[in-house]
Amino acid sequence: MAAARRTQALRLYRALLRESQAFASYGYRTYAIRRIKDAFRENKNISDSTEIETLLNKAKTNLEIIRRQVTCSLPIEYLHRSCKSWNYTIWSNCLKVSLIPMGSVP
Amino acid sequence: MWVLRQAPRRVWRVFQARRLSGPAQQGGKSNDEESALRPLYMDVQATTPMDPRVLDSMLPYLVHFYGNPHSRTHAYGWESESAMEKARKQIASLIGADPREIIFTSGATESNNIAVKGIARFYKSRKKHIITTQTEHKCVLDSCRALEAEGFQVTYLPVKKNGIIDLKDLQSAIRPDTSLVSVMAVNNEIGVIQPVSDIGRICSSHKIFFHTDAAQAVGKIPLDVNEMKIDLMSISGHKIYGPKGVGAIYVRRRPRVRVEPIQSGGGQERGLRSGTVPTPLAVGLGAACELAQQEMEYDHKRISLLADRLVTKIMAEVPDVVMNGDPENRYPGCINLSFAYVEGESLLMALKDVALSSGSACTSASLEPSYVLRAIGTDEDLAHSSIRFGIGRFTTEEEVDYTVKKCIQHVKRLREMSPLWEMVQDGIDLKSIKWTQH
Repeated sequence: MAAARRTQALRLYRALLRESQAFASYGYRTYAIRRIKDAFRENKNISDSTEIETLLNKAKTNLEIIRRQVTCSLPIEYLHRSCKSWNYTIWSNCLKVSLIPMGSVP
Repeated sequence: MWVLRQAPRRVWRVFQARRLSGPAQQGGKSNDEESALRPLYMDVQATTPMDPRVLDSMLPYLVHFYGNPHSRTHAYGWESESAMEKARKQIASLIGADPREIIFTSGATESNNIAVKGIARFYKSRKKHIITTQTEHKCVLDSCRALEAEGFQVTYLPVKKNGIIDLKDLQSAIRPDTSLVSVMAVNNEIGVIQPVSDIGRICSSHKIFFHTDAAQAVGKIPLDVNEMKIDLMSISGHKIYGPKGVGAIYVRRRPRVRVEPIQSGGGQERGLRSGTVPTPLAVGLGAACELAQQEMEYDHKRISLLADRLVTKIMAEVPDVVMNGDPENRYPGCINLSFAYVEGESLLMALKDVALSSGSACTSASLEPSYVLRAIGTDEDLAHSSIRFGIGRFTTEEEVDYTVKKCIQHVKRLREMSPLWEMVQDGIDLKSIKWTQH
């Protein structure tokens, strides 16, 4: 039982860190990684099984939140990139917005 | 199978993460690419970025659950209402209040208006006097000005050199017809914490209502409305990693505090603030409060660490730096430093890759020195050279180090150009100079 929980916790830890890497915003990304590491380190010695269960459920909820937020935080960040980068054009086409000044259109 | 499916995605993500990494991690990038990056954000007293967890809680109410929370006749209304009530509970739990004492507003400005004008106008037949301080936020001071035009008398308490009010001044300012004392908990410009509990005790012993503007304090320092004897408290969403355009006011029920509403309408929020409550924003504020409660200790520890790092590094490298406000009774995330012999605006211009401000955002358009700094008795020249550094949940060590590095570099450069600095180095007392006008 304990071994199974340990594997589950480690799997969640790795998944959380992996997903957090994809936050486009520097502040969110570093915060998420730091917070996850600190939380797991803080709780590593907990032995009460109900408490572990609650924490694992919390981790699962947070993993889902990170997955959702990573996907919806991408496009905005792309728009702030330089006009010359390829993804800017792709995303501006996707969003049907043209931020290119009128005069520069050949 | 898992490896096959996952591997390309992981590689892509790592690639993305490298591409999009922040300024602090970007070493030898070309100038062209660097100019496209946005400055570092070190102005969290103006507003904070929204926490992704807050946005996540709001999203369903922006698209799926769109009912009017005040609709009583169908399920769309009920689900929005229950979300709104949950948010109310989350806010109340953060400040130790009852959910029924929380009223949703559009922000701390509206909350302050309701508190100051509402109390004064409700009790105007018997009580005509209000006490506040000189370092309050503009919206409290301006509400008081409006009341003065209506015939009320307002005492603007001075503050001591450290930015904290003298309780003896408060005691002596109290009159039999005083209806309200309004003192902010954490100052937005210099970060000092006022002795809220002591003020609350004085007010309750004189049976005067006590309002505190806690926009910068809620979720950052522990607050309890019953322990601190607070009767009204203003809360803002966008200062605690929540959405902009929402706030709340706590209005005590027992003993009952009566307020004259400012806005007339459908009688929502017990008639104190008519108008449909924006469910997604209220949900966001609730989530931000719950998070703040969970993370307060963690955030506070980290912010103190970063603030210490910033202050000690700057103080060690640059002479003649003054920290405005009390060094002990303060919220560590708000640091106001005056760099003598350097003009604050030119330093802000030089530090264009760091988003900073010389004081509150409301007055940042004018070149006047901050009225808060003048109130604490800062000399005119030092008040002109102040900069506010804000450290928040998402600030990193790298950002602090970069800011410190740039700050030291530019202060030294600007001082070398300054004739005043040269005179000081030659041992001339600047105060002894007789300036002549040409």
